[in-house]
Amino acid sequence: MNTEKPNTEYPYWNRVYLAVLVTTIVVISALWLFSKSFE
Amino acid sequence: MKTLDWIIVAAYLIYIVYDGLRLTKKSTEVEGYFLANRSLPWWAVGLSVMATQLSAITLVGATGQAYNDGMRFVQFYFGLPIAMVILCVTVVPFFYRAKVYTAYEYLERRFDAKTRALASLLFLIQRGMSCGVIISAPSVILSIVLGWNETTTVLVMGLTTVIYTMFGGVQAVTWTDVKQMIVIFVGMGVCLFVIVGKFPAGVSMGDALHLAGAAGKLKTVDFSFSLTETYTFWSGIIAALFLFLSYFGCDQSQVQRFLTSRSVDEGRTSLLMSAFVKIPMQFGILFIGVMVFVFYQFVQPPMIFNKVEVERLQKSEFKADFENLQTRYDSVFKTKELLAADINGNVHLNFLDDVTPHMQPARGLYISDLQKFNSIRKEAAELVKKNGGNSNDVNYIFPAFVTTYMPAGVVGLIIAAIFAAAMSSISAELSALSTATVIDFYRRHINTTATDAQYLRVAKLSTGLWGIFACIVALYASRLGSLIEVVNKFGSFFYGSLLGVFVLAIGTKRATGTGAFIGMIAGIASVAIVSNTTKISFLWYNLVGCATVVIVGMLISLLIPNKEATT
Repeated sequence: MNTEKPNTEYPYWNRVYLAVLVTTIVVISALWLFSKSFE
Repeated sequence: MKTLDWIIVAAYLIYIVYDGLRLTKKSTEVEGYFLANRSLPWWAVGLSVMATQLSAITLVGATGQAYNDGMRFVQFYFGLPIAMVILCVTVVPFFYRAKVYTAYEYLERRFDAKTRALASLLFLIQRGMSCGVIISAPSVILSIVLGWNETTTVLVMGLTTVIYTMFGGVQAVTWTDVKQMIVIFVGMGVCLFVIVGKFPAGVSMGDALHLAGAAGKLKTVDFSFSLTETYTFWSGIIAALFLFLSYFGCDQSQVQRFLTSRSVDEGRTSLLMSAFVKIPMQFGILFIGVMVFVFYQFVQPPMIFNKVEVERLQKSEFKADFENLQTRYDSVFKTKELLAADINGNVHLNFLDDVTPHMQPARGLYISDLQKFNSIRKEAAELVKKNGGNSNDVNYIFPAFVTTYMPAGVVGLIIAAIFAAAMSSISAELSALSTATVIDFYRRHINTTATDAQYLRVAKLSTGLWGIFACIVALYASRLGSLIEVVNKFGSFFYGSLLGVFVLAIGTKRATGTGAFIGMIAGIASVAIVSNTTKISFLWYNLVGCATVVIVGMLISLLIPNKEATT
């Protein structure tokens, strides 16, 4: 019986890393908008 | 400080020492003492990563910096999430699966013993000295705020941390870090709530934001590119990226954090937690500083926040100059305060946004008065300098505000948060220093055949000795201003070069030990030259050092290949 688990590690972590980078862009954009709105 | 505040600070200190010491029984062998048997959950490690990075001087200095310069410091952290992703892909699985205790241990496996020894030695010298500075800097501030002498503050802060770190090992460091981060979060949250509650009647949060915006305090993103400007979008996203790669990927005090996690995935998650939380958290800390600024638009702030320097000036030959400046300062504040109220005498800040012609002059006058106000503060700082004092007032703004205007209980909570920020950094440094000493030197070169129990005894002794060394440095550091500068400069020389060595180790196959060793020395030399001959901001030193190590290291490796080159 083949007990080897499918290697799902990389796609999962790639999605996590993408989420981190997208969140960072969103946060920086929000900071920029925040400073612009009270300039 | 009221009795309630002292009780809170004392309760915090007693609880932290007790909490650290009760974990002693979990550190019965070397792996437990240094790596917690690789058993810690990601969220505890993640909080420990953040607590280690957040020193007391970062907490106190950032709020003061926001009061003076606004929120542009937040840009420094823009590269952090990118660095965390790169580290999660590269060094985290690499170090974790290599089962190393220290980052430098890997360098011997990849290169040779001399490269490992040099990297570890540089870490020990730099971190040993900087640990003293980490104790000294907040101690100087707290001793003025609390009315203690500096020796007492250094001993309270340093020795309590040494006790629980020495006996409890990394378990104690991590679990006390978790509690310390909670104290910091609660302390800062309560502080923000109380400041906003102290605004004059009629001043809403919206008004406060408009006022801070008009004064230029809310500028968070600056897209201009300058190598000499420290805080811009580009320096944060490029230069600070290299600093964070070095700090989180090559500095033992941070590498040790993720090596204690249960698995590679939990190690990754702990770093990514910091990637998500760090920018909003830093924004929150800076925002408190901006709200302190808004508060001081309606209540006159001291011209110099460091009361010791004020007392020294009043007794010096510059007394008349100081009093003259104070009179001008009082006068400008009164006109500025009036501008922060509308013509009916009610506090009402909408004039700052009112674009109708008759209100435009009000905004202009306010900004002009603010500039005059700041210029007088700069003159006062110059006077302090002439008097032979410490002209850097930024670190005293927040503690002075807290002890003057916060209610009983909240003062104690915030002082406890400052202690927590300092102690969490010190404990991680001591644990890392001990790990590098025992693993990279004692076990590798001095006694290679000792038993686990013997190594554990040496590890505890080493933690204690590093703690005593840091306290001695701290006691003398305040009198040796230039030494602090040398320590900080040395750190910036070393970080980029260390990163370069790890890039050679992990990223190339042809690099040799000799190439890495000479490259590391060349990297440190290149940063020394750049720092002494150009005005480039220190953030870029890491990029310079790293690039030099990689280029020189590869050239030497190609010119003098050896049999160990193809690992």
